[in-house]
Amino acid sequence: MDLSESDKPMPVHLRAHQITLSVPHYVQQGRGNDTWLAAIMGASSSRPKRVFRTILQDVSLNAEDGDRIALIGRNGAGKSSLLRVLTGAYPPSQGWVEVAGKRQALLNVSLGFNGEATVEENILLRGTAMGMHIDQIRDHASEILEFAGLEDAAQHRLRTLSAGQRMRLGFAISTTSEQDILLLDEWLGAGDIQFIRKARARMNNRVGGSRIVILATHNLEIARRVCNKGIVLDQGRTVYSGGVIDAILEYRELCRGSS
Amino acid sequence: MLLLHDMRASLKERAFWAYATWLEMITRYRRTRLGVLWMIMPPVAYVLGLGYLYAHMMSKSAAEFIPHLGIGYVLWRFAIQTIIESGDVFTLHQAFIMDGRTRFTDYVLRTFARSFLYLIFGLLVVVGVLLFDPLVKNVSISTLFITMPIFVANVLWMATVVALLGARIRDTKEVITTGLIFGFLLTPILWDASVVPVDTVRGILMRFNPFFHLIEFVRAPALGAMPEISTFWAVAGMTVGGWAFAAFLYNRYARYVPLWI
Repeated sequence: MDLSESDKPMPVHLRAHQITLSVPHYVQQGRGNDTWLAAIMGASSSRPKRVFRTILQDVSLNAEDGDRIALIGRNGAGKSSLLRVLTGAYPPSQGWVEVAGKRQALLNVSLGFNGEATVEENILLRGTAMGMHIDQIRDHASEILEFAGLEDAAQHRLRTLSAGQRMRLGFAISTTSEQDILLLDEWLGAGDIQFIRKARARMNNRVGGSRIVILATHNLEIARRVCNKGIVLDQGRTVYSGGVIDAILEYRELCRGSS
Repeated sequence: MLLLHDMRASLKERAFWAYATWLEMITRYRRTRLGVLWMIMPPVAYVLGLGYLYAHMMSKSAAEFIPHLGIGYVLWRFAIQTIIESGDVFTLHQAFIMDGRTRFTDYVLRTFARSFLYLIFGLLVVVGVLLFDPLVKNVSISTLFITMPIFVANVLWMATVVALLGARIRDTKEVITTGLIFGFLLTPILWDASVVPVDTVRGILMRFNPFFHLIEFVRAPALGAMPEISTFWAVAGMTVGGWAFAAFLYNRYARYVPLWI
């Protein structure tokens, strides 16, 4: 193998250009619920209307190799929708996404888990859902159990684990192999302090970890410690885009202004 | 062709759908006494038990009726299981799709794999019955190697179409569930195709049922008879036309699935 080749891996980037996203929604007709009978009948007979709602408007994002970007915003600001555009699930109504590198999304903690199967089997299950080969995952299994602190529970059924333990397991599996681009939705918060520290270390580790991390979060402490850039979204628009410290200040300002 | 491309890729990378389905099946039976043997119980009960009782009611010998019912039942069960469950398969796998796994054939194959597994167990029972049945020749049984793949391929395009329609129109699953209740009685599973000859009005109407042809196409040769010529044409047309239709829908609409669910 050519050494100079392996020293310089392919440049990784993720760019979103002026994304606008309209999504069909089903909206129930509001009716007068004067009596309990009217409330029941109304709920069963009214047909939902299909309306298009613009969730994101003219949002741009530019992540280069090594960037850790925090998406900050209030509930319903469009953080998760933007992540879904970035994963490739939602086709943007306008604008386009440019991606170089392999994307790994972690939007849902219990994705693909089977509660009745053992922890060890679930590692294989989740791994295959990420497109890994069974042998490849098996090699990582003990390392994953160790990171999640579940060495003694390998043969337990998954449903006997606590929510926090499941979250650790999900994170450990998803970050086990080197990812180019990691897209995370807010759920790191469920872990205890010790685990968050561990997870942060893994995300910050630029050698073994991912080269780009995009993290949607409300936890400003995590955003500040993990990220170097921040984007503040409000009602589907970019309010601020730049350094993470300024983004946090901007977000605080935004929350203060509306309260 | 996007559908063929995705389908080929999904069939090549089986780990995602095959392992998940297998694990789901075995964990379901893990705490039972009989374990995976439970998978083989329904066809045994249905084919042998019901076949024996009904043979008398249909005034036929058990050796004649049990294979007839057995093949029809196993094929029908496979087809309706696959098609009904495809109706909301994309909604069920929403979390995966939102994570950016947009090779939708993976999800179709997931439901397909489950009913296919039941089909395999059902066929084991049926082939066992056929081998012991004095009226059935071993040569005829071997026609299953040709007819079964064609049958399965037809169910697969139907599943793909239903999955796409079901993502956009939520009535799909309800319509199909309702329709298939009739379907069981309108398809020659309990009764014989010869009771509705092709030259009667009723016979012509019955032949608009795709499963009439699909089941006859597999069963008649296995039991040593020739299906009607119209059945050959119908099955050939369905296989080609159905896949073309599924490919058209998939190429055009698959990318909207994340927005629909």
